[in-house]
Amino acid sequence: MTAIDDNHYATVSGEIISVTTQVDKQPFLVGFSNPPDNATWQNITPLANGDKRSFTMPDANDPTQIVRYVATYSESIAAGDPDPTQTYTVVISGSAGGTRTSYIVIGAGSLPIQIPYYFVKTV
Amino acid sequence: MHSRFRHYFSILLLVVATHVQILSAQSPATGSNSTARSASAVSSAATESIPDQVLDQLVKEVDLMKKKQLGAARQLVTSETTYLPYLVAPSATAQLFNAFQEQRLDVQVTSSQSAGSSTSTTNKGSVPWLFGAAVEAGALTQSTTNGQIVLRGNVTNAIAATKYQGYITSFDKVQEQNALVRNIAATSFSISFNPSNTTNSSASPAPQTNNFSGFSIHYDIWNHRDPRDRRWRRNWASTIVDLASASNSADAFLKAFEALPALRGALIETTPSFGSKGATYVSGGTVVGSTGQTCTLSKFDTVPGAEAVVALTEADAIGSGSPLKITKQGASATSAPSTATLSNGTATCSGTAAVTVPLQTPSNQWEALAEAQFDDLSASATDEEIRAVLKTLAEDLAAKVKTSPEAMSAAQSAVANLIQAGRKKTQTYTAIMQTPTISFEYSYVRQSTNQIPGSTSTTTMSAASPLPNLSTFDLIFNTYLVAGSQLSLNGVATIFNSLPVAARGGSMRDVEATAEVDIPLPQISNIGKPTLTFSGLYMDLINQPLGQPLLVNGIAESRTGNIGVFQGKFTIPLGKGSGVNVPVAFTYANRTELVKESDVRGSIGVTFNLDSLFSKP
Repeated sequence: MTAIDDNHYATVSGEIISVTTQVDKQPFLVGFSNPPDNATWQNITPLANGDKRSFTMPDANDPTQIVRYVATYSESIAAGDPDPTQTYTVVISGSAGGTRTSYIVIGAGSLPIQIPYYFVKTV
Repeated sequence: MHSRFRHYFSILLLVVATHVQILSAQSPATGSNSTARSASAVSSAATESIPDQVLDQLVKEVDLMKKKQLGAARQLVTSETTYLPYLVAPSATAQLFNAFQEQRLDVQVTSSQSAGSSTSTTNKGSVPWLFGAAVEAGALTQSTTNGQIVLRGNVTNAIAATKYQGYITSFDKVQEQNALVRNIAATSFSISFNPSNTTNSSASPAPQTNNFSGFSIHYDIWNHRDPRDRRWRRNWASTIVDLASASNSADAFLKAFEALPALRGALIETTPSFGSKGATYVSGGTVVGSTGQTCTLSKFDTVPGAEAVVALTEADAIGSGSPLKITKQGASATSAPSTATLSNGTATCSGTAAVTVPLQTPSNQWEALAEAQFDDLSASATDEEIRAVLKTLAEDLAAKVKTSPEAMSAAQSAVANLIQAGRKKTQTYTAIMQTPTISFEYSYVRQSTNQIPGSTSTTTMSAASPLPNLSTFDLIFNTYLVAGSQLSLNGVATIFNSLPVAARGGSMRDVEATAEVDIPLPQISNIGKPTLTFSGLYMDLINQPLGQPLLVNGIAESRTGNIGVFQGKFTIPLGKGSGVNVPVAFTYANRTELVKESDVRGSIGVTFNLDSLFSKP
């Protein structure tokens, strides 16, 4: 897997993509869309401050070229918190190699942030 | 009735100003570039349209993201889903704003009233998880008004935060420990200082020579008001389900947007940063060269004038799916080209190659515009410049999707899902705030001669012996009342740690009962939610407040009796969600501890929760 930027990735057929999302202040409020067919979420594992999940890129014979999911991040900052931001750390890695860490920072009282993540099958 | 109204602005405004400066330097939401916009936003927020409010909030988010990492800001600005609240009906977005504005009230940073200088009559149940600080002047029942600096903290949590290097990880690690550690973690401390102890230099006996004025230990007997508490995880899971639905709706929006057809005569797609949507080499041609060298491509079958280059992925070969870098877009396409002619670049190339080259769709056009607009922003772009880019992209997106009922329907569904998620979040906060708390606080108070009123030309006040220190025992009950308000009740007993020679009576100094109601007021844009507080205190001074008679012109005067205090307080947050609050209080007392006359006073302070220093990832 090669990161093109924080939410665009070039992958190879059949590669397992792992997504680990963690938050600096709980509660962890992230909703993931369902990836397209043949790339459903697997091994969803709750972590102390987030979760880890993965999906497999379609194989070479599958006509699906792009897998996309949307993640919606919400803040849950108590009033009185002197640092009125919440940071989600997103680590995306591929079984064929490559890791990218990105961040979503949300201010107190902000609307949720929705980011689409694209994975293209290059080979 | 003798009435006094005291002002402390000269000293405290300096303190407040200092804290404001610190906050300005630290607050992620108030960068140097945002000042002008923020100032104007405060005055114009009441009349701003909903789309303008969306843009204002996006500007703040871009600022926050930029400070963390430039890539974080890029993905926010260049994602269509960022602009969904801008696209739907303002009434829906207004509901969305309402659904995501909530606060909690119960965190107490200041010292207990019994410590002498608090502006609060009543202690609340919760304290900061790590550290907090407060500067206040009030001393509700005393006859002078000593300023006080209070530092609150939690030793176990501080050690955990240091050891586990993370705010939430630390919390969970503490919760995983045995009962002894968890109970210690439920205990916090505070240390207080008098910033000035020379207010009454003529007091007798001589003033103390250091600023330490006491400490307290706070233990949570029953407290589940931390949103990280395990009992709330099921509630948060329900919110996540709605956020996932919002993600699915956002994905449906993207599909509908991407399905919009290319316009006739469109240019072929340039290669954006994401190659999948650009042109790719499929197969064909003959190439001779080494990895990284390039061939040129021209004569795209349906797009006159288009040119591109493609890199060799290994010696004498180009891998299928290799991105084409379009150098000329051509014009007047009628369909997407599927072949192009290979010719020499830095490698030797010939023949015809099969290619996949999409035409520009509204979706791709928008993404290319977003990438270009973001790239044109300088690292030091002002908020106005960022806002202009966001508005350009939002309006371009709105113009493109307005002809797609599917896209608009999906956008509305996404916002509806978000509203539902916000309401569930609010319900969870309400449930958290409706749980009662019970806590106990012990305070050690170092009495100071500063609390003896200053002498005048006709009256001198003094005490015969050094003042005994005090121990205060406070049982605190806090519960939800109605309409978001909170009720706090305290039962307090104070004893003398020692008795001076001139003491009469036993060790029990006083008993108190206090009650306080905190009422949240409506949101003020860009500031936050102020709080109105009404409270009352009844104190039975069983013994002399100084442990000995007060000497007025050398004649001993008894000061036992009852004290009643009523207070109205307005707490203003200094910047929305900043964690800094300024309490402004008006207090009436039928008497004070040393002066048997009614007392009316105003007070102002500043509280600052320092947990932020330890909550950074």
